[in-house]
Amino acid sequence: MSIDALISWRIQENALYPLKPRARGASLKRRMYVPPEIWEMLQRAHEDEQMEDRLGSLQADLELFVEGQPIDPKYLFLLYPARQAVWEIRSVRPAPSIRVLGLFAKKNVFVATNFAFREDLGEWQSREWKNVKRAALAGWRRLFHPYDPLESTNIQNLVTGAINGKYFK
Amino acid sequence: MGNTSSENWPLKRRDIAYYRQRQKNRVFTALVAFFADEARQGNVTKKELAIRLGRDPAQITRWLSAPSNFELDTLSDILLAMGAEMDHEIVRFQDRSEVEDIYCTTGTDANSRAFASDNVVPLNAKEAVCVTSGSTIRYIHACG
Repeated sequence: MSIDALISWRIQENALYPLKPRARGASLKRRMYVPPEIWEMLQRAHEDEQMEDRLGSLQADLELFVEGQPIDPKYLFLLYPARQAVWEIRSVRPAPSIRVLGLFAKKNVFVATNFAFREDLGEWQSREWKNVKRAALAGWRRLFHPYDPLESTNIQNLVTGAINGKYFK
Repeated sequence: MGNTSSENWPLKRRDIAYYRQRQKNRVFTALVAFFADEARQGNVTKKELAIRLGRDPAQITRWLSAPSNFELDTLSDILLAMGAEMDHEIVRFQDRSEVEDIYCTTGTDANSRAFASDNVVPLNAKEAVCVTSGSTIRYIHACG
């Protein structure tokens, strides 16, 4: 079974959801799949009005990827160590800053696995960071074992339309 | 969203936040991509931009770091310093086509259809999968 076929199975069993723009007529140039916890967060109304604002912004930030907008290292960043192939998408504003972690199944196909509020993570070598990276890897294995994620430090191997820059520490 | 009929008024908070951020992201990515292109061609650097605008280089770096709340005046200044300006076009939602999930409803088996496109992956005789087709992603879950 190809990884595309496996993605389809995961969609059918509601383990993954394809992210599609809320805005009518927005074109899709890349693919992103999100897990139930992120999907539900994006779909359900939140009782806190500020979180409603925040989640609207998060959705727009995630869609920047699928709409094929130029990507730069302020938006997409490879977490340390690079060999684990875990990336973060940064949704910075408004506060609180949110990090969506995930891995690439193929070029232009990002599978989000989990998310965290940046303020909960501390310094880049903290235990909290390690935990969310482990959760991302575990999420990947749960969905795609025995497939490995696409691993590269060259952004052009992973994303079409990326602006050249330093995408890893 | 995309439906602004009166039954949806007042606008939802989440939609307002979403479109505000979407607008910022689109303007910002256009700006950053243009700057990157100009820099790659050797036409400008951040330092030169700072000189042209009479600003601290750190301010230029901040402006080009994330879609912040910088004003339209600032956007205009940065573009002017690169010898450019932004073209604008306003589009009605109703004039745009909807992104659709496409379901195969014919009685033919999926494989013959699937092999018609390299982007379609057959699962079995009745199901084909998830494809990127041009600018639209289509999901074909159950054929036949």
